[in-house]
Amino acid sequence: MNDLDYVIELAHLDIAFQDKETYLGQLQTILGHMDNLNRMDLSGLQPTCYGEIEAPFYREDVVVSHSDLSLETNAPRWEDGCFHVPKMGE
Amino acid sequence: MAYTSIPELHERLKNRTLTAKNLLDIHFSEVDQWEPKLHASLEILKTQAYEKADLVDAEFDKGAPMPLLAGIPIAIKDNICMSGIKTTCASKILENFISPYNATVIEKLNAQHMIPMLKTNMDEFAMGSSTENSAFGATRNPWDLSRAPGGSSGGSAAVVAAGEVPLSLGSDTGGSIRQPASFCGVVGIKPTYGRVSRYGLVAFASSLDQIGPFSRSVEDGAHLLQALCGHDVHDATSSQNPVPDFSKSLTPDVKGLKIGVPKELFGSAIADDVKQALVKALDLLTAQGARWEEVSMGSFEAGLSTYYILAPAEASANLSRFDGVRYGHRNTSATSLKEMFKKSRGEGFGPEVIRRIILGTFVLSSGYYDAYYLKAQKARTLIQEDFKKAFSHYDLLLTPTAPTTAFKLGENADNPLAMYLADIATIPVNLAGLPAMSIPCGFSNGLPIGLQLIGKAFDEATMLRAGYTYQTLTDHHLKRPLL
Repeated sequence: MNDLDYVIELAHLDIAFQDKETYLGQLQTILGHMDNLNRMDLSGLQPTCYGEIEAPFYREDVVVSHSDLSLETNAPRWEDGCFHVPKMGE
Repeated sequence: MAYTSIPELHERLKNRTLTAKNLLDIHFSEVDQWEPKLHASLEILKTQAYEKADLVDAEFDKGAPMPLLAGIPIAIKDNICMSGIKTTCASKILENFISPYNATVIEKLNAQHMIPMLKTNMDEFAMGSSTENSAFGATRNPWDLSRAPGGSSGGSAAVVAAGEVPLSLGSDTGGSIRQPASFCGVVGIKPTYGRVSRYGLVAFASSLDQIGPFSRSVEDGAHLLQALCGHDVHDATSSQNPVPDFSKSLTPDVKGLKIGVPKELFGSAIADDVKQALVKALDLLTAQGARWEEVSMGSFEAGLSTYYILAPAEASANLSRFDGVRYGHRNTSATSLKEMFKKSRGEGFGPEVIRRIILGTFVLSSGYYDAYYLKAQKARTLIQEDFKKAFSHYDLLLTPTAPTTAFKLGENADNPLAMYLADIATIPVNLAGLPAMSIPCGFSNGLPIGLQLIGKAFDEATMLRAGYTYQTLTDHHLKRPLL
């Protein structure tokens, strides 16, 4: 449960105690299944991040004007042209 | 009419025996009949669709040359952004989010004068295999309303199967187009990674996500795929490979085609009725001149574990943007910024998304990174090498799309691992970035069965040719569910 609490904190989640117990059981089962990776010989293999990788391409560094990003429409709280949030510190 | 092919609809629109407005009337009538039973759509875009139909009809009336897909209705999975329209990802956290721009695929549909009709239901943030993880209620399978349509693009598969639309878009991270296509008896295509721009697709696992089409036939799917593919500067992983003319693949010819059949996906995990349907399909293709052999793909054993480390890891990073600051759900009782993050996310995300964020954060955390994430990245290399080896001998691989036909709603609700196993045949394809598609290959107890064709990278053409040939010999794709 210590690991779970630590990860929940890292992930910025708020989870009720009874739900934590459910998640813990399910995650233990899933992680148990992942043990099959320990039985495989992965030595000498390089890690891969993507399926097919091509040479990178570049686009012109041009400023694009977005006339309406709907910031105000989608903002949970919008004041004076800014996103309003609770205080960060005392 | 709701089950007519795209070339035939185009011909009728062109010779004006049908108007785009008539076509919408017909499909909205199907929507009215099916939606109360299926709940496959999250938003019906009636006003916009009819406005667009008027414009398209005006062009057809003038006799202007119009693209093949002009005036054809389409449904869009609700994780693809359409300007001025809600994009919820079937999540409470984005319940009221209005997209400020169009995804590149939407721009491409607009260039074809297609008519978006519906935003479709899905598993929340595309995480799931049944569409039961939607915050707005599950979708039902049109072939049996007590069963799941598959997922995560279950809504997009169900609306095509039911005849609500001729075509739809889904996204596929570990099988989310192909598995619901199999469960609903339609064609679902996952293009090669990089073929179709991901710009405007709400990211789940960026190294795996691809947008692709649902259709009733390979022919219709190939036409939509053609419209979607192409390089896009807005997506850093977009391929610059030239896009072939897929219509040239629509010829019934598999003579000399070499097909590999991975034996690991013909074992005890696969239901007998599924295996029998695949053997019949192989017999048909063999009779047309194709050859097949069993091949061993030992790395498939690592597929599920690898995927459920890498995809949640990427998801945990991608979903960190949903914090209640700039958009989406915000808890209003929080008195500090951190409390607001935690409560907004805890309230806004559903259980499967939370489970995957926890898992992804765990495998990336200090002390566990090497044991899980790094190991999974190496296993991904192993899987890719296995595919490369197989494709040095074969033109295509053929597997079941899913281990079973559609399961009952609620059957796997309390057992996430059992649900994850539904994607055992589709996941390795995403890890290798290859193209694949599911096509209907039979029925068992009234439920569709799908077979999966896997192609070499950027060789969708061969896959489409084999699928097209198969559909000229069978009629599974012509059957439709009854209300």
